Amino acid sequence: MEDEIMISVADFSKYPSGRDAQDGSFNGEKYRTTVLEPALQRAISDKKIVCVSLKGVMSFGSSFLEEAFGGLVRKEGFTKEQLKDILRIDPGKPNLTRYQKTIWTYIQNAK
Amino acid sequence: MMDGIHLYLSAGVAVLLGALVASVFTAYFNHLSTKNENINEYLKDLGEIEKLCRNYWLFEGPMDEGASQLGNLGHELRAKLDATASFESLSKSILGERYDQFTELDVKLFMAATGGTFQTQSFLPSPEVYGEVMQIITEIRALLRQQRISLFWAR
Repeated sequence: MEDEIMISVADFSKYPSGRDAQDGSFNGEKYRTTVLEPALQRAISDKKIVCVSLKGVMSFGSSFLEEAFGGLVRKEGFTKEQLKDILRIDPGKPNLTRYQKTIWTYIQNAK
Repeated sequence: MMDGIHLYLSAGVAVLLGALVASVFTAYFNHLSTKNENINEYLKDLGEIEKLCRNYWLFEGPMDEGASQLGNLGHELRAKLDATASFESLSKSILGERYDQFTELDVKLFMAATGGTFQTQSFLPSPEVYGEVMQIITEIRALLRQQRISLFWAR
């Protein structure tokens, strides 16, 4: 879709893990700061939405998801309402809907 | 003569109807058995998740020497949780009106078992996390047992 900026977590890593650089190369903080946040800023300026595809990822750890997505509210200053408007999570496969729900729960719980 | 033919035809129709009813019941009970097998397999996986969570979140080895063992436990736990995600995609037809309650508990279990300091350098064993995981697993087991009772009218 033209109004969507498509990004795929699998392009970052098929096995993302941990919170920050201490926990490995494919951690949540790195994904948030190098991929998610720039894409969201671009979406805001171009009046688009960001669609994050989970397809192709072998597995997630909650710590990665909380740091990457919950961190958008805790550390990058996005509001929950703003993210509801400009962020879409595409599970890609029915067995990945658990992670889609987890992401929105972390965004909702972030303070 | 005609009476004999009618009797023969009636018997034939009765046999056909009987076979039809039997095949419908067989298909229905096979369907229920498949659902039951899926629930049983999931309950077995849940037992393994319980064991892996105990070994990971109550890890007793020295953290430095045991880092590799701890790392492996983390990967095993994560892989087992991922394997159960396929049940979540099947569970709508199995759980009916209990589906929403199940998915909520499934997300809670995933968040508790792999959240916080899971697979991070700051990991410390946590009886609190283990306790939370056990509570969620107990709730899931209770829900699945209730569903099995609803499906089969028996334990």
